[in-house]
Amino acid sequence: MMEVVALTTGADADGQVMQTAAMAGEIIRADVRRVSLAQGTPAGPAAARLLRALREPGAVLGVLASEQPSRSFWQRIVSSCAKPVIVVPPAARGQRPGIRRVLLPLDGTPESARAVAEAVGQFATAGVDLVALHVFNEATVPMFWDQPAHAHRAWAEEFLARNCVRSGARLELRTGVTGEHIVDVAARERADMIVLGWSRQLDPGRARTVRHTVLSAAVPILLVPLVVPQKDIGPFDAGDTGDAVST
Amino acid sequence: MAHRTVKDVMTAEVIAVAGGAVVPLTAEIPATDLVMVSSHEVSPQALDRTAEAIVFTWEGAAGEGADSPGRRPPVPPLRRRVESLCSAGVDVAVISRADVADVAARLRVRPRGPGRVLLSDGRGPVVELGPGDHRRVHRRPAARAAGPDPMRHILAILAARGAGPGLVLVVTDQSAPGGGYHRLLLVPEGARATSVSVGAAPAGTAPGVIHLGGGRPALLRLMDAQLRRRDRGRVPAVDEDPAWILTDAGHDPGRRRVDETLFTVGSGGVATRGSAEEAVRGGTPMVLAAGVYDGTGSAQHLLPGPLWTGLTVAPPAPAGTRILDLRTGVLARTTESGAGGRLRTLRFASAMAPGVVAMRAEAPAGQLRSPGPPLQAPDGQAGEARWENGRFWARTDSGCGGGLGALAVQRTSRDAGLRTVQRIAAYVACPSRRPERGMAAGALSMAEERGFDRLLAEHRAAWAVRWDEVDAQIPDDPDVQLAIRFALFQLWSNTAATGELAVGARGLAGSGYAGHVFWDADVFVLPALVSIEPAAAAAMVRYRLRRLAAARARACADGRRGARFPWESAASGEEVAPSSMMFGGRLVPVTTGLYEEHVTADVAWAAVRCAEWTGGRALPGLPLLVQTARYWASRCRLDGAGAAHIDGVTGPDEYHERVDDNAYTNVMARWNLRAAADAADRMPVTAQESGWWRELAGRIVDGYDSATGRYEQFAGYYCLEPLLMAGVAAPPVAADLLLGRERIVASQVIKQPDVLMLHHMVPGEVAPRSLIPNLDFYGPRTSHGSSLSPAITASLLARAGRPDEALAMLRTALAIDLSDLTGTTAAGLHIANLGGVWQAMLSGFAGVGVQAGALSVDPRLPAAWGSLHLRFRCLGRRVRLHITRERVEITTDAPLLAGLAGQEPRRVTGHCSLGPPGKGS
Repeated sequence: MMEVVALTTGADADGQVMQTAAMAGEIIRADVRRVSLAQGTPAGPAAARLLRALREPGAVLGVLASEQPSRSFWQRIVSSCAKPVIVVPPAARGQRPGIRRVLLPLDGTPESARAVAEAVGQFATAGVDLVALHVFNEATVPMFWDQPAHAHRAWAEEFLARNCVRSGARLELRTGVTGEHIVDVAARERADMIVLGWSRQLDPGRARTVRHTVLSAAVPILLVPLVVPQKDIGPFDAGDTGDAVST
Repeated sequence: MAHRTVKDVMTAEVIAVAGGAVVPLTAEIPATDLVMVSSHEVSPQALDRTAEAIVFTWEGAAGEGADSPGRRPPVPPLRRRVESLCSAGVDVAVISRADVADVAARLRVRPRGPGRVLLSDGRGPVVELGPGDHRRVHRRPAARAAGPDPMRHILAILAARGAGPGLVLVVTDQSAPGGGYHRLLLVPEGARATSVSVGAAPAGTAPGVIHLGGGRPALLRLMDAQLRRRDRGRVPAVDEDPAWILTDAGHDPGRRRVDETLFTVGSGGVATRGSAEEAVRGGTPMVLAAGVYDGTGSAQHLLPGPLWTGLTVAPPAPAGTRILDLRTGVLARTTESGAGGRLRTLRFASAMAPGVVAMRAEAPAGQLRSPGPPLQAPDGQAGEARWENGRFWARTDSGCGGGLGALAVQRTSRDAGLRTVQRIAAYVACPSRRPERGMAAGALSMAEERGFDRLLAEHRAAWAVRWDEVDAQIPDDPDVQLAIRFALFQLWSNTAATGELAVGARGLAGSGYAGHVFWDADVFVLPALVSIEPAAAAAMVRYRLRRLAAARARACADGRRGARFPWESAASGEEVAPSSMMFGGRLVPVTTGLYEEHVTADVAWAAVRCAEWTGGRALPGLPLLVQTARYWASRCRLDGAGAAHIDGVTGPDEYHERVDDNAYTNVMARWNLRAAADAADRMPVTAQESGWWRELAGRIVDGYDSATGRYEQFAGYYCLEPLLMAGVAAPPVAADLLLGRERIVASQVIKQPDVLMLHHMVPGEVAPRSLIPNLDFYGPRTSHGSSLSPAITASLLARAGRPDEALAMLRTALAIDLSDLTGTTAAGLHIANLGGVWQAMLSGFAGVGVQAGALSVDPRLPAAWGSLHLRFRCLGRRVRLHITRERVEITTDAPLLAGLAGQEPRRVTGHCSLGPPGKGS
C-alpha cells in the first residue's frame, strides 16, 4: 500500500500538514502515515528519521511544514530525498480543503516536463484543473511573435502538447522573474497547490525559484525531483548537530 | 550437371539452377520446397524495389548479339513485357551497338503510354517512342564530350520525366570492372541506380553491380517482377537524392507535429499533413482546403476534411524514417515493423490531377491489419459517410454552408507474406455549398482508370516539368539550395491555379491562424507565386476581387468612399480579426483590425504586381485599384497648408499602434492613387477624379528628410527613446514580450521593416539612394520579431550591396520552419516567409525586376556563392538565369526584352549573355 509520510512536530502547522497529506493521499490513493517528532529533537536525527521513513518502499510522497521544526529543515529534506515532497508554507494555514486546481510552472525543457508528468497525470485523473505557467525571460522568450492573438494560441497549444499532454490544461504566459510570477499567478488563479520540478540542488545561487516560492506562496508546493538522486540520505544523518527542533 | 530448385524471392517462382545459372524448369527437375541459397543464384534484397525505368543492353542483356538471326531468342516475349511496363508507367530504355532503326525494326514495340521506350545506339540521338505515332528525337546536349555517352543522356531524359537515377534499374550482361562497353553504363550520374548483370561473371563483378546471371530469361524475370510488384500493390521507391529530399528519422518525438507540417503534400488547393498512417499520441492528422471555412466572425477557421491516410498497424510500429522527395512530390516511410519485416508507405497528391490523392502501404500481414473504410471523419465534425457501389464517400460540413468531400476506393492484396493496401481518393471543396458525391465521381473514375502506377508516373512527370521551369541551383551552398526548393515545393503544394485562392497565413499545412488571409498573401506570397505559377497569382487576385463588395461596405460603414479591405479576411471578406485576447492575466485589446489599414493599398499593389509580371495589357484588378484609390482619397486629411495626412493607423511595425503619418501607409496610399490615376483611361473614372488623385498623391506627407536621406517612420518617431537592439537582445527576438508593451511603445525598437518595405515594394516611390541611409538607421532598431522580417531584410541587404549579410539573414529565414524557430510550425507553415525567401533569391540576390514589360537583372552574389542559377516565369516566358562573377547569361523560351540594370533592355531570344554583372556582384 502506498503511503504519504507526513511530519508533525507539535506545532500549529501540524493541522495544515495533515490536511495537505490527506488531500494528496486522496489524489494518489495512498494512506497517510504520521511521523511525529518530539520537541527538541536535534535536526540531524530528525532529518534522518524522516528520510528513513521516506526511503521505505511504500512511501511515495512526503509532507512537511516549511518552517517546522526550523526554517531550513525542509531544505535538508528535499535536497536529500529522491521522492516528491510537499512543503506547506505558513500562509497555507486556513486553506480550504481539497485540491481543485493546480498550478504547474514549466520551463519548457523536456526534463522538467518528464519530472512532473506522473504527478500531472494523477491530478488529471482525479479531475483536478491544471493551469500551466511559463515565464518568458531573456533565455526563453520566443524569437518570433507574429499576430499576438494567433501566435499565443499556436504557441500555447504546442507548448502544452510537448510539456503537459493533458486535455483541458491551459497555459498562462508571463514575462519576468519566474518565482514572482508563480506566486502571483497561483493567487490569481486560486490554485490549491503548486507543482514544481527542480534539480534538488540548493547551492547558493541555485534554486532561486524554489526558495522564493516556498517563502512567498500561500499554498502548498509539491517539489518533484528532476533527476534520480545519487543517495537518499544527505549530510544530516543521525548524530549531526545542526539546528535543533524548536517550536 | 546437377540441378537445384530454388525460389526466386522476387517472383516467388520456383526455378532451377545449374552451375550458377538459371535454366528452364522441366519435368525432370522436380520442384522442391527450398530456401534461399546464395546471392548469385537468387535475387538479393536490393532488387526488392520498384523501378520507374528499366535500361537494358540489347545485344547483352536481351541476348540480341548473336550473329545468326536463327540463334536469337524470339522477340514477342520481350516486346510484350516492354509494352506492359510502358502501360504501367515505366519507361524502358534500350542501349545497343546496333543502329536504333534496326533495333526498332526488330523489337516492333508499340507502347501505349504513359511509359515511353527510349532507343539509343550511343552514336546518334535518343529516339523516344510513345502511343500511336509518337516519336521524339532527343539530341545529345552540345556540352557533352564527343564519343558514345548513352547512359548519361538516357538518365537525363528519364530525370526530365520524373524518374531520377535512384528509380532506374539497369540490366546489362557485363559487370566486370575495368573495361568494356559496360563502362558506358556505370556512370557517376547513375550511382543511385540499381545495376544488375545477367551475364556470366568470369572476371568478377564491379562494385555496386548485382550479379544475377541467367541471360535474357533473367531479364524477362526482372521485368515480370516489376509488373508483379505493381499488380500486387507494392510500395514504390524513392530516389534518395540528397539535393532533393527532407528526411526525418523519428528520433525526436517532440518534433512530431513539426514534421507533420513540413511533410504536408497538396495539390489543387487541398493539402494533407504528413501525419503517420496509424493513430499516434500527439499526432494531428488533417486535410484542409483553401477557402473552405467553418464558424463565424473571428472564430472562422478552415474546415477539416475527411482523412484518407489512416491505417491500422498492430503492434504499433516505430516512427521509422520518412522522406519527403521534393523533386517528385511524394512522402515515403520505411520502418522496421517488429514482426520481422518492414512497414513501408508512400503517398502523394497528384500534380497532374489536382484534388486526387493516392497511397500505398505494405507490411507483414500480421501487422498491417485489414483496413476499415478508406476515409475517416475528423473528431467531432458534422457530415456524412457511406459506402456506395464499392466506393466510399465522406464529407465534412461547415456552418457556412460549404463542405469538403472525398470519394475513395481501396484495394488490398498479398505478396510474399505482405499485406498491401492501395487507396485512391478524389476531393471536392465547396466554400458555399455542400459538395455532392457526383462532383468527385468523374475525377475518381479517371484516377481509377489510370491506376496508381500511371497516376504516380504522371504525377512525377508533372513535378519534373515544374522543376524544369522553376528552380534554384547553388552548387556552393547545397543546404540553402535544398531549403529554397522546400519553399518552392510548399508554395506549389499549398496553393491552386484555378478559381479563387485564399492563402492563409499558415497555408494548408495546419490550423494555425485559422486560415485567415493577411497582407502576408498579397505582399509576400503573390509576388513569389507570379514567378512560379502565374495562374495561382491570378487566382489570389480573384479572391480579393470577389470580396470587393464587402470591402466597400466596410468603407461605407466607416464613413469613407471606395473599398477598405479587412486586416484578417476569411470566407466573406469581412473583418475577422479578434478584438481582444487574454495575455498576462488580463484582457488585452487587439487593434490590428481597427488600425492596420495599409492592407488596402497592399491588395491593390498585389493586383498590379500580378499584371506587371505576367505581362498582359489587361489589368483584371482594375476595380480594386479604383476603389482602393477612392478609399485613400477619402481617408486623407488636409491641413491648413494643404498637406495630406493619414492619422491613426498602424504600419507593418505593430509595436507602435495608431500613429499618424506612418511612412509606409502614406507612401503606399500615394502609390495607390498614382497607379489608379495612370490606369484611369481604362476605367469609368472621370478626368476630374483621376486628376484629384494625382494632386492628392503629391500632397501626402511621407516623412522624408533630404538632409539625412531617411524617412521618419511616423510622426514623432524620432522623439522616442533611441533604443537599439544591441542594448536589448540579439535579434531575432520578440522584443515586445521581453520588454513589455509600455517600454516598447516608448522606444524606437521596431518589429520588422516598415519604411524599408517601401524600398522593397515601390522603389520608384522613394527617394533615390535612400535605401542605405534607412537600412543603416532602422536595421539596428529592428528586432525581427516577425517571421516576415528576415527574408525581406535579406533581399534589402542584397540590394544594398551587402550580400554576405543578406545570406546570413536568408539562412535565418530558411530555418524558420525547417528548424521550428517560432515554436509554432506544428500549427502550419509560415507561408509568407516561404514566399519571402523566394523573393530574396529572385529580387534580392539576382536583382530581377520588371518594368514596362522588360526584365532587368542586377545580381549581388555572396562571397560563398560562385554561381547562382535561377529558373522562373516572367512576362509569359520561362526564363533561366545563370549568374557568375564574370557574366550573366539568360535563356528564354520566347523573345523577351531583358538587360542588366542600368543598360537599355534588348530583345533576347533563346540563350545569350547579358554581359558582366555590375559592381558589387
